[in-house]
Amino acid sequence: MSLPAPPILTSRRAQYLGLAFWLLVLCTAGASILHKFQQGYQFDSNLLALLPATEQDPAQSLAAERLMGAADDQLLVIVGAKDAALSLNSAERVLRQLESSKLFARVEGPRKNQDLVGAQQFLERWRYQLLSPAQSQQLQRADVTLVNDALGRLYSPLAALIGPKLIQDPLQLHFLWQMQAMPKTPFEPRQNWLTRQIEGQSQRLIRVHLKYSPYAYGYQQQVADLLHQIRTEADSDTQVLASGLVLHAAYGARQARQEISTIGLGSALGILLLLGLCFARLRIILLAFLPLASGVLLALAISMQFFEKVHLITLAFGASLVGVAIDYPLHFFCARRETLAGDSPAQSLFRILPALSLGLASSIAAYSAQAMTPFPGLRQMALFSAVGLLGAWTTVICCLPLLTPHTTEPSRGFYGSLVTALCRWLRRWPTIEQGRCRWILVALVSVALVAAINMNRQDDLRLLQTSPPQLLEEDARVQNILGADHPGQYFVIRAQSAQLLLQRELSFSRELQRLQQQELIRGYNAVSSVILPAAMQEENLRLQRQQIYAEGGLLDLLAEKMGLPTFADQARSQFSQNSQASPLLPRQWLQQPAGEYHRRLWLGDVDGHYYSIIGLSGIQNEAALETLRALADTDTAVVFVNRADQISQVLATYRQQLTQWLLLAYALVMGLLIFRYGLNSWRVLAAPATASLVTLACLQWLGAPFTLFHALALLLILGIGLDASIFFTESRCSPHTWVAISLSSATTLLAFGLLALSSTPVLQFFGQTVFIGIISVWLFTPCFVTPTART
Amino acid sequence: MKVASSICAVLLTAICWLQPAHADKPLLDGISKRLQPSSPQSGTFEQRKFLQILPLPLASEGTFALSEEGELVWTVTAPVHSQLTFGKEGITQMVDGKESWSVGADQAGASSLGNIMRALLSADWSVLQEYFHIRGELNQDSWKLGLTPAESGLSAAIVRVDLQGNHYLRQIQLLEHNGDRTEISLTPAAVPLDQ
Repeated sequence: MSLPAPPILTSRRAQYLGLAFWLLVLCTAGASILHKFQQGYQFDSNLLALLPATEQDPAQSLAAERLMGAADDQLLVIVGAKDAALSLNSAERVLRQLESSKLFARVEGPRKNQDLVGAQQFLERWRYQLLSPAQSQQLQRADVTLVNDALGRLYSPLAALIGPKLIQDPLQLHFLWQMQAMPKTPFEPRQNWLTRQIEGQSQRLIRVHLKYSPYAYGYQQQVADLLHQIRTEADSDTQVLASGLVLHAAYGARQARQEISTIGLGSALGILLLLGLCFARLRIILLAFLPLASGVLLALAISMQFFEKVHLITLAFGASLVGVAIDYPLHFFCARRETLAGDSPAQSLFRILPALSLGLASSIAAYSAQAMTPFPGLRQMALFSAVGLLGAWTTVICCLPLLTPHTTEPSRGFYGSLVTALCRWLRRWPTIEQGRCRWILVALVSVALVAAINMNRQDDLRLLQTSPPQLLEEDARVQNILGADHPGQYFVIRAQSAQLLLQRELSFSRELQRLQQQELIRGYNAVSSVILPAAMQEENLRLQRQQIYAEGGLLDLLAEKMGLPTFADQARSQFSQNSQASPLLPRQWLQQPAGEYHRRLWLGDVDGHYYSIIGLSGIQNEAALETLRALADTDTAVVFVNRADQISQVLATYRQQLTQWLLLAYALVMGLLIFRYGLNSWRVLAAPATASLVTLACLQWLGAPFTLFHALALLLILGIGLDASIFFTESRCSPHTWVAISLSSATTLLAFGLLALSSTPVLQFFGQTVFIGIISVWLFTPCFVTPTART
Repeated sequence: MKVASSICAVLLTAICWLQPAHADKPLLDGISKRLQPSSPQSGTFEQRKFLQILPLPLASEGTFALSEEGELVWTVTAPVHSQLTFGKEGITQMVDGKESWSVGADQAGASSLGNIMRALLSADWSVLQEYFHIRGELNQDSWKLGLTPAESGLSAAIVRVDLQGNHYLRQIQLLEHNGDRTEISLTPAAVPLDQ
């Protein structure tokens, strides 16, 4: 039965050389990872980065980065109470607590309203040329109501605000323009605090800028704890609301940690117990994990070299796909048990080497197809998994023979009874060779196929949502009080130059004003509401000269109605002295402190085009969203971005791609297996295929949807099922191999199947699929791979 | 006992000093007691706007009415016809029955003046204290208050607001920079005979 192993495997020298070489490779990998981290390497967590480059517009990703990035590094705290004095007191206390914690880069509480005052003074230089489109139209027809309205305001308490600038702005056009051009905010400075009166409560805003990343675990928990402390210490009539990514991240991390310490601990203990019972030696148990650990290390190092930013999703699912690699050492150890007296570890390795290599080759063939897709996430995952498996395989070959004890334990104790029990079970288990079983299998597969095809597909963003309802509700309340632009929905506008961009924004704004009148949206924010295109500024100046300041113009009419003819001369001389300003340009305004908000909206030159964002606030309902989408469709230079849609789109595309690729992977693996098994190749693939279908049918029966994460789990089932069938075939259905397969199935169940208990939807989906799938693979493998069907 | 009560008095004064927001509480409570409880508030006004650059003040008159919902309708009847409504939602101007201009409360800088006017006419001290430091005196049959802006945005426009009254708020004087000022005299709609 056994050929002698070649000297390259058996010679002591070759073994030591192999080990040394491999240790060197692993050390280099470790060092390169450390080096990358020292250089500040960061993992990507932006889901949109998973989209193919062609579908991801650079301007759009910049827009998302600007809006979301700014929002992600902030924590908004709103302190409210019915009584204004109490709300002020409480807000001051909360501010002190936040500041004294030293946890934040900046805490913005009460603010001098210098920005707004500064902006007003800055813009005054251009007062004769900055007009709203409606004002320009009124000037064009020399509308007398401009004079009457101006007088009405001048004779009212508003005179207190208008009076000081009456000569500079006799018709108050600039005064009115400023009010409507500044970004909207429902907050008003009261006692120097940004305050909003809403629902009978006086709400004060504190804006907190984080010092560290919202994803830094220790930091998140400190912030969450501080907030908890602030809330418990707050006055009972005071309400402290907070909203920020850091709180969601803190919750998610805490939940993950809890699950790791329960589910994770449970599965680790289970695996150790199982392996301990079987192999009874700590050294062997540790060696069982060595290939897995080395594989992940190598995969991480290579991925970090290859990709500028490895995605967190790649890391999570890549590592679980490499989990298949636990098969390799288990098969080796079981082969050692089966070994003929006096066989060296190298000899045992040599015996299982064909199965080991075929398992690796078929898995890599499958992943190589995945690497062809244009989807960065799938490509990263493919490379990660392929390198990981290759690393694990090499570790088995280079390290295990030398590190494994030479003496073989006789098959006694738990392991011995396991072999006996499984042998007995195997003999009784129905196989496809039996007619009745064949028909049952055919019927089962047909039913499962129908169920799988009819599965309810789901790509909703909420799949990724791990936050509890109370956190989401609090977010919604904060958003409601803030009345701010929603960072998840906006327009991106494109043009050839900055001036054309302003023009396009302005004409697009007219459509938005219409929606505003229909109360579909509450408002919008655009740079062009302050900065008019230069041509329009010049036109406005001309209109002012012709319709207001010329002899017999609106100014004379105003002065006459005021009964003060000299006033006209004073205003006219102001105009002739101050109307020579060149047009106000975007960059002049964006440099101003008050231009901060607009700086975020103005993307400027990206790859030779100019881009800007129009922010939206108070989108009323789904119909409003539909209208906004339709509006963008009318203009090729305008894109409506709805991040929720985009992420659902990413999930859907990935699900479709992955499903298609899964079918292709089966075909590829089949092509490879034909070389070795010829017409019997189908037997190797039958178990994972049937198991996958049955799993889908079970999920359908349980009412679960089909998502991207179920598809990913089916990949793991293919990997494990393939290994099981190949080893079983290669060992000619040896009971020891069956023990190895059973052990590897059990460890996979413990490692991933227990994730079905997780309360995070993504992990739960993955877990339940793996759970049902692995059990099915284990049950079906001996049905298809039978001793009579050997090649 | 006497020592204890004088210490108490000192302490109370000290506390009052430390908490300027509440320093005027007795004064403002006294004025509130003096004021006739008449809601909705309405009446006529005369306004004179003094500007350094103009030889004569700009004079106007009209009516005002504060609804129970706290909306202030300010109607100028002479020398022009114009109606301004200061509400929670912002300011609206009507000329000849047509809306000629409006600004929402969420436009920065737009809402404060309206909020202040509404609070003045309804003697809502707690709102006024959010914008101003209030000092003043309460005499036998009249009272005076001086309101200094506590908030820098407001102080860029207004130096001080002076109020005078008896059973009613009689006069509002807004002092602006460069010596400009706006004087508004109010006459309640139904003045009791003893006034």
